Amino acid sequence: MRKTAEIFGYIFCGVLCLLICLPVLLLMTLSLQDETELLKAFSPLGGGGFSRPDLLPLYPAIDNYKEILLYSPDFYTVFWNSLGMTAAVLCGQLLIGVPAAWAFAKFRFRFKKLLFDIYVLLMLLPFQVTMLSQYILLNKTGLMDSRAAIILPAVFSAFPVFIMYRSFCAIPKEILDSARIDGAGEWRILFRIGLPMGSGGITAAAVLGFLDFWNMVEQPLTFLKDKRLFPLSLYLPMLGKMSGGMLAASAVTLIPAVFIFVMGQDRIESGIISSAVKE
Amino acid sequence: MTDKKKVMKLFAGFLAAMLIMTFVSRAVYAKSLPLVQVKEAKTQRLTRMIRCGGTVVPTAVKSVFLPEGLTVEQMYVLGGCAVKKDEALLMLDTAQLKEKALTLENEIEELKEQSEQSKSGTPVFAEPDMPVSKVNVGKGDTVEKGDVLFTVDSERLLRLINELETERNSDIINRDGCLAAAQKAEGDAALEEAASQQKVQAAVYDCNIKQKQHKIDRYLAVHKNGGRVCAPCGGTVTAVKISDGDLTAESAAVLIGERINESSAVREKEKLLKKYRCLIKDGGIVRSETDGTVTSAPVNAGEQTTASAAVCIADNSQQMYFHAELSEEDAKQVSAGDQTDVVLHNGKLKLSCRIEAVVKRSGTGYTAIAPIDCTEALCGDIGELRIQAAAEESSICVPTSALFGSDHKYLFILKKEDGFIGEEYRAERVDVTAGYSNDSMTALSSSGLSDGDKIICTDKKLTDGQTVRLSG
Repeated sequence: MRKTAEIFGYIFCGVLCLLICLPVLLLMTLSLQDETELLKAFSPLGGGGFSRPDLLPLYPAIDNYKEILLYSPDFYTVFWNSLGMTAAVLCGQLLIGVPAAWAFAKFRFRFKKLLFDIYVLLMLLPFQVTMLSQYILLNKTGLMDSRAAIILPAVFSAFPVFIMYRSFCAIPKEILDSARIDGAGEWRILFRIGLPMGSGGITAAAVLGFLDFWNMVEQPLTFLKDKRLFPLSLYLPMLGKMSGGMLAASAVTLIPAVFIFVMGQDRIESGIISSAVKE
Repeated sequence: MTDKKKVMKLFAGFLAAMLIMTFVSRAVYAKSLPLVQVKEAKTQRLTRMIRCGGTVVPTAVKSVFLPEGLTVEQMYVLGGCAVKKDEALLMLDTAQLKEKALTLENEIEELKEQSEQSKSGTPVFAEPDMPVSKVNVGKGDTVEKGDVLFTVDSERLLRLINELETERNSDIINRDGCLAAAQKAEGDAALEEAASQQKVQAAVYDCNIKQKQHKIDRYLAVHKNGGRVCAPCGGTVTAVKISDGDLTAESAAVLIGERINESSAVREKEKLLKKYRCLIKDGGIVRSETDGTVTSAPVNAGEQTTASAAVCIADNSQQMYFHAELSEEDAKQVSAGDQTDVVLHNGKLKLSCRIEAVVKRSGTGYTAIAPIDCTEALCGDIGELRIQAAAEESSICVPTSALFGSDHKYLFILKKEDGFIGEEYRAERVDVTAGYSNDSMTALSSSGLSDGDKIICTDKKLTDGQTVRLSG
């Protein structure tokens, strides 16, 4: 009985997994189809019908990739914009978030609980709620339509602090005390003990942050007007609905995220698990 | 850990590849963009230089006519040659000239003889014994065939006719009597001689009858014509031998001579002979009567002269004109009185003058005529007429090289846009109507353009909205 349930569980998970992977599979196969096949597959959508794309390209072609990678310098501009902004945000988050999370985790000070609750509250607020205030602030400071308009608000995000806080909390207090007895200063303890032992949370925050900011849409849509600053997320829709170029560009866009995810996969799990442990 | 390093290496490789491809794609993209030049549209009154070819033509042309049928032995000039007065133009066959002169002399002699013979005139005889009532011509009068020379009295003529008829009838009776007697005597041998006499007598009567009948017929014809005697041919009356009231005699009543102008043929021939003699004297050489330029010399050596001019010589001492051929379009811009330049001798000679007239040619197009005051300009010189013409009003002008299309003209203006890789330039199509134009610019009669609009000049085929690259 238990075995049967297990088998059904596997089947259910397999189907679910297939459903989740289906968009990516479709993306990969469609990106290898030429314009004629794509038109044939998606033209019924315009008339209110259903699309019946071929899962395997009839005549596989790399024309879409050639078009995007060889003849579209725009794509590289937005690619490096996305990568640059995401990297800058992650660096800033680590620079600001690690000391903040360390302080919340290892120091006692007045209104610590209240401040942390405010952090959590800010984390829970969606972007749409803070968008207006951010817009006004950025406009007043003259940062609108610049990379700083995307990077600065993201640097002070509460989510990585929350992730890293949990990770730092898991470090035993005794280890830190022994370091202090051995004469280590607070910064030294952070760098020598805190960062290595909390690397799971830091990596998890970095990976989740990368995935979040690699795909961000609302912030650049609201704060950027200059096309030269646009990230991939704004560029892809501009290539046209279901165009071959857009499919190829989407496939290439996936690659860095996949790399980052693969590199930080084990740390994400441990980091998320540690952040889920109740105090 | 090793796997992670591998992944990191792959990721680094991916980023490196993307970096390289960034430059490659920019290079490929830049190469694929059409390179264009840009010029600004501006409002101005367009001027243009009308250039049209033409030739210097003379006012006076002297044609050298030669008698027909003479063989040209040698031609000394061709069309375009400059000749001086008395310069040899061609040489005729002297032997043929002498032969022709001899023939002509004989003809003249014959004509003169004929003339001498006809000096007495053509006699006009009237039937004798006709009473003349009126003479209508005098000596020296010119008459045409059928003109009335004199009139006879109709009543007396009628009486004459009656008398002649009576005599004729009597002769007829007598003749018939003689014939009957001869018939009776024929059977009898003794009366044979008498019969033959009767026959002879009858023949005499018969002859008289015929003469009288002829006379009667003539008289009747005159009477029927109202008694008028007419001229049998045209000419000049040389003598009138009758007067009013006379009776016509056997001799001619009026003499009509040849016309006075008929002797002009002799004179013409004499003139021609004189010319022949002159040519023979000069060894058959035909010389120019004036300084000038040979405009045409259609006869070649060995050919025979015709009725048309053998050589035409433009008189260089007279006023010269430059005749330039204008197209229909150019002619609209040119009018009499316009200041113009005539450039001759490959630009070495530039003359300022005014257009005297613009006339329509027999085919298509027009001819602009401008007088030239320059001794260096010779008839037949080829040159160029240059006139500065201006449009009627100011309008937006664009480079002619920027216009596309044959019937429906259009051009592309440059639009600057912010693109993903920086400032991008796009070609935006604008339909226009082209108007006045010169070598480099065209005025637009209708367009949505304004001063300062950047007009794309390229020989490449562009499409609306196409991204282009600026050169320079």
